[in-house]
Amino acid sequence: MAKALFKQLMTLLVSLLGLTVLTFALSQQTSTPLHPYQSSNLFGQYFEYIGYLLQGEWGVSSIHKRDVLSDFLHHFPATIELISFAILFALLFGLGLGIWAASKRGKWIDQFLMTTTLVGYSMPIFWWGMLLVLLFSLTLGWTPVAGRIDYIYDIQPVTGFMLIDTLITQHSYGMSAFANALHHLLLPAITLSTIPMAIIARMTRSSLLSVLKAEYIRTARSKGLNWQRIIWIHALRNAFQPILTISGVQISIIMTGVILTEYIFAWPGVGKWLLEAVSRRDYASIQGGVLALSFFVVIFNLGLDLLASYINPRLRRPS
Amino acid sequence: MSLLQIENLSVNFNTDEGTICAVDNVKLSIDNGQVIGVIGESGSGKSVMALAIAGLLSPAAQMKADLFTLDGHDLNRMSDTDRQKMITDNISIIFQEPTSSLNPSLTIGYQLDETIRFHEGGNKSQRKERAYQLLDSVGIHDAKRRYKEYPHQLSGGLNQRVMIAIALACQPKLLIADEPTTALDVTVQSQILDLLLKLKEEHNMALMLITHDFSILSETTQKVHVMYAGQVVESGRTYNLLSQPYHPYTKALLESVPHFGMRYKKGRRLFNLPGSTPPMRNLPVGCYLGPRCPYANKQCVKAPELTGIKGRRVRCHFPLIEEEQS
Amino acid sequence: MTSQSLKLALNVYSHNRSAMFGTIVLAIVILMALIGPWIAPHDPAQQFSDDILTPPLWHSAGDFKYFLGTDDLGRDLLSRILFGARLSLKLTLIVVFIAALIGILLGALTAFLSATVRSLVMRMMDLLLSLPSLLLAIAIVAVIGPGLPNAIYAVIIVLIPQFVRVTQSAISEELSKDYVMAAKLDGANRTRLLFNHVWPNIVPAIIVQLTFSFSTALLDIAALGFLGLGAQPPMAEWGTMLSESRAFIQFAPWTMTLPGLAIFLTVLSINLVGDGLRDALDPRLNR
Repeated sequence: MAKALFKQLMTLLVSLLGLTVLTFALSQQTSTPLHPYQSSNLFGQYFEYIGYLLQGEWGVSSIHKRDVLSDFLHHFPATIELISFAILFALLFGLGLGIWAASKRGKWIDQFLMTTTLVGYSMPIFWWGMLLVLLFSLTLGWTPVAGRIDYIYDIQPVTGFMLIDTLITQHSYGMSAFANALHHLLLPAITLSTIPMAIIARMTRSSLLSVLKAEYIRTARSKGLNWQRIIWIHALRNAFQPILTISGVQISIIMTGVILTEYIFAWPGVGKWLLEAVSRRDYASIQGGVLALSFFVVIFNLGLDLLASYINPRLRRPS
Repeated sequence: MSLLQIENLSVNFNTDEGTICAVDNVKLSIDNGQVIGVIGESGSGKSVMALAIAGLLSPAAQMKADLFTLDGHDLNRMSDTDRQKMITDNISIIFQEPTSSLNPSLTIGYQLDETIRFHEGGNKSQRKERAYQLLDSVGIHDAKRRYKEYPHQLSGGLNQRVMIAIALACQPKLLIADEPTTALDVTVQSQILDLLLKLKEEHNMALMLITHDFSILSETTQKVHVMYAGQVVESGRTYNLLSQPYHPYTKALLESVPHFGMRYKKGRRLFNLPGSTPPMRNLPVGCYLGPRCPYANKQCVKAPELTGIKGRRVRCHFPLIEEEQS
Repeated sequence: MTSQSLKLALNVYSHNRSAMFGTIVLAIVILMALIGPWIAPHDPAQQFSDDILTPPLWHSAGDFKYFLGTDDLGRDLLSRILFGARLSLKLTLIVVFIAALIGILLGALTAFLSATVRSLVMRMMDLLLSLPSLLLAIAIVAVIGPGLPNAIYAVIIVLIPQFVRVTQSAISEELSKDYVMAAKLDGANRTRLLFNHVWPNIVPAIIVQLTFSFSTALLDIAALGFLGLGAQPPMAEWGTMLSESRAFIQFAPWTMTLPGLAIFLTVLSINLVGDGLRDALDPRLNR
């Protein structure tokens, strides 16, 4: 266990080293240096750069003169809110549809679900988002077109999470602000969850079907256990392994998707913030944003690895 | 009275290349407390037959039997759920690969406990006591430690003991052991066999031992069925059958086993059949053994019936009786 | 690959209904891209200022002159989509082949590295792979500036690690097999080993990776165009066309649905072909 953890930490360190080299190269694009470096050669400057990063000094935006790290953190909750809901939808419906398809294997519902998910994972997310807007917002008028909340609500950011902030400031608007924020969140979250949901559903189905062929499932059946128990206790636990393994790819797909989704829905998160920085050539913000987002992905993957070893006893305690 | 009685049991699989008959009109009966053996090469349909009896066939398989009674109940007349309950209450099965037959993500204790809860009930501490007792009875003496461990932490032999404990927790009247020792070390094999026979006595179970190894059957079973290409080709009392096989296939199987101290005449080789087991998809016309059989002639293009000879049943036009007498 | 296993793979592939559907759709898209300039009714850049935002033919207000309607500047949508197919497929091909060439070479080179250096290189590749492809592309475009050529460089760089990964893991898997051991004992050197023994065995894995890279490349190029970081207007590029249509979704939805449909169908068909190839070529994943 300790050895495995050490290996994970080493991987993390190497990853961070690689990442900071990348963003250091990015920061070199600024006309005035990002930080007041003492050293004249690049190598020395890189170490100073690491030092500044560790102190939380990620540079100052050349455009609006704000601190990059606090600017990022200001926009980050909106992104987290969006991707958490997207991941929730993707997991909930992806697992559900996958289990459903697997238990109806070969029937028309299975074929229908698998065709739908095939369509789902080939969907260009920027087009899909616009289609949803066209249908649900513009034609049916069910959902708002853009933003996190209507302008009539004046919500003071406390945590930065709109759903939480609207609950905190209930005294002024009651639940209507919360409902409004949720209403705004729905369509972007669905857009963002579509591709991961399709992939998770397909993966769940195939993984579950292969696990159901395993000999220990036969043993479970011979004990006389009912079908629900066999699926939920005996099969899913083992089928989860490959699903977790592809989740690392999922987060990468979601982060790509969140940039596009925020752009389409004018969602004031880090994706939109980063795109604005790119269009204004605000290199300080770009290097900060890329570093922070990549860092997030790396940490997320590390967490997944730990979760995988928690779920799978063979990884936890080598025999 | 017979505990299990089966007549004309057939199992078919529908595949892209047509229907495969994995088990072909098998007749079988087991009395309470009896030990019978089923022997055949891999692919002879013996494992599929075991799964069919234990109600564990995959949905792709189609099973039918003219008669299927268990403990006096006619299973053919029961609804699917009733039949399944009847079978799981009375029949337990253990498999060739003990380690992959146990769920890798759950502890030994959990897998045993869930079986006890389903079949005996009781509260948590009662069930735990019962689990320790079961583990102890199958020869796992550090039961408290093993209870918390996962299958990958145990050896194959220990896992097979756990499988037997799980099987016992169902309090079966019939235990089917499908190649229970094939995957284990030689020294462990005899321990597991001894354990099975001991438990059979203690719990008054019937035991169906499925194997490809005659040496296992000779000392343990009262009756043997020899299977080839999904059919029973010969069955009878173990001693008679082993000492004087009537069917050429049985003879071939017996003679292909080298015995310690076996005296070889000069130039004599281990008997073996030419060719290999025919693919189920493409069985020969008539007697399935025909193309490989040294005694085959024209008549063997007609399929032989299973016929009774001297208290035995043989599926052959030319049983090896005269030859032995001459 | 022997001709027999090729025949088997072909047989599996041709019996895969969704793969055949994908092949047909992809063939149509490629055909359109090839003959586009000759069948396009108009110049994709020509602005018919009298006919802006003409709906497609199936609308009551449709015009036979513009089969799929026109955009906000009065440009014929059918012609733009046809030229867009040509551009997208051409760019995708270039991008994927350059990335594959570099990636396979790098992957093969890792076979000559010491174990420590190789694992370090592969760690870096894993890192690049774990990062969101679009984020990486945006970072690169941010450095070298927006525009089509730069977007292409960015997508090439993003695609390289996948090929390094596939090549390296396929090589190391092959190198650990018994027949390679035997060849080593026969005194074959590493280069010869790679070319004569390993290469033929990793071709299937690389073909599968190629098809999936096509869809990634197509999507990333379109996404960069959509974000205004790739192809710039007035170029007839699908992603750019989508981006231009954003303002008119409500009044002229066809300017958005049609180019998007073109992207979607192309990506779907490539993915179907890729799935089919994987099932047919990769024996490890074959049931």
